[in-house]
Amino acid sequence: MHMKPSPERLAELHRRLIAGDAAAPAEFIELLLPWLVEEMGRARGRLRDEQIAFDAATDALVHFVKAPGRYDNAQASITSYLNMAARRNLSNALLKERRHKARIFRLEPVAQAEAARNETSEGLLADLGDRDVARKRLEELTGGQMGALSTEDHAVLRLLSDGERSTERFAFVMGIAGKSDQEKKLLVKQAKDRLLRRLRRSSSETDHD
Amino acid sequence: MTSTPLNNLDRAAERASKDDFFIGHLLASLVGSRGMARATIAQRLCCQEHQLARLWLCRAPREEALAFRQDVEQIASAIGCDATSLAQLVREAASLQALRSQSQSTSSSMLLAARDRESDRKMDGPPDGGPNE
Repeated sequence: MHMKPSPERLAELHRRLIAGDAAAPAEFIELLLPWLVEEMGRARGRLRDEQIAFDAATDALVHFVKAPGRYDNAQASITSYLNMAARRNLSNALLKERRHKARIFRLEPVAQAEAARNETSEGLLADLGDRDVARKRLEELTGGQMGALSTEDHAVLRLLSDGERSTERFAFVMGIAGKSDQEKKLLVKQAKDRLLRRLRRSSSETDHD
Repeated sequence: MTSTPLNNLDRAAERASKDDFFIGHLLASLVGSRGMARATIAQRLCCQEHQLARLWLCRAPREEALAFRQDVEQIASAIGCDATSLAQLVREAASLQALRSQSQSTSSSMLLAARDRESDRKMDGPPDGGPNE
């Protein structure tokens, strides 16, 4: 456990930062970083990503050494001030992460026309590792996210995850079995492309997460 | 960087190398562009490699001669490295950055000039000795 640095030592470093001492930023950061990272880890006991806690603490310290004049010692101690700043960074980072995750599962509709003028479904399937990706995403969808999918999309996704290749089977679940072979082929291709595009997008966003 | 896991100070130093407030931003260009090893930098500064993280987190020296000298001396004294060598390294890194930004602007000017020549040629028609001659 890292001890909170003494107020006297911090006040001295603050004076040096204000005076423009070029070595003071390093001393200030080195002194406070272990303590502040630990504080952030404690602030979010269930925090999965230790990097977020570290970034929140580092950003607070960097901000402080770059503009030491913004700190007013009549308002709070340096440690309280840094703790508040780092917690604010942490909250913002977690909020951003939550929004990012929500976006992954939004599965916004993609215009069918857009799908048709892009890669072939064979190309996309190869790119994605086809049914494994479809199966993985299907397993990851929660009840609410499942509700965001149309019945048709859900059925197509399930066929994809089963590795189904027959246009007839896709046409049947899509309710277009009565159309001509050419139309069925085109509509099935568009539906697969559209869905695979969503899957690919959500997969890549998850990888960056 | 070493292959062992980075400690918090090393990670903060990496963060500093992306921010031009810190001297680490300047010195990192020597590591990046010239492929200078951190061990070589430590050797030139007469200090231990583990002290570089702290060095990286110092403020970049101001440009004005007197302030530059004062800043370099403060840093060298705090880190325990040779002030003259540090001043040389900082100047080297600053020159490198200036050259790099100059060469970037030169190459974009050359590209623009080449594009202008190309469009002039198109407007003037085929060059001498071309099929219409």
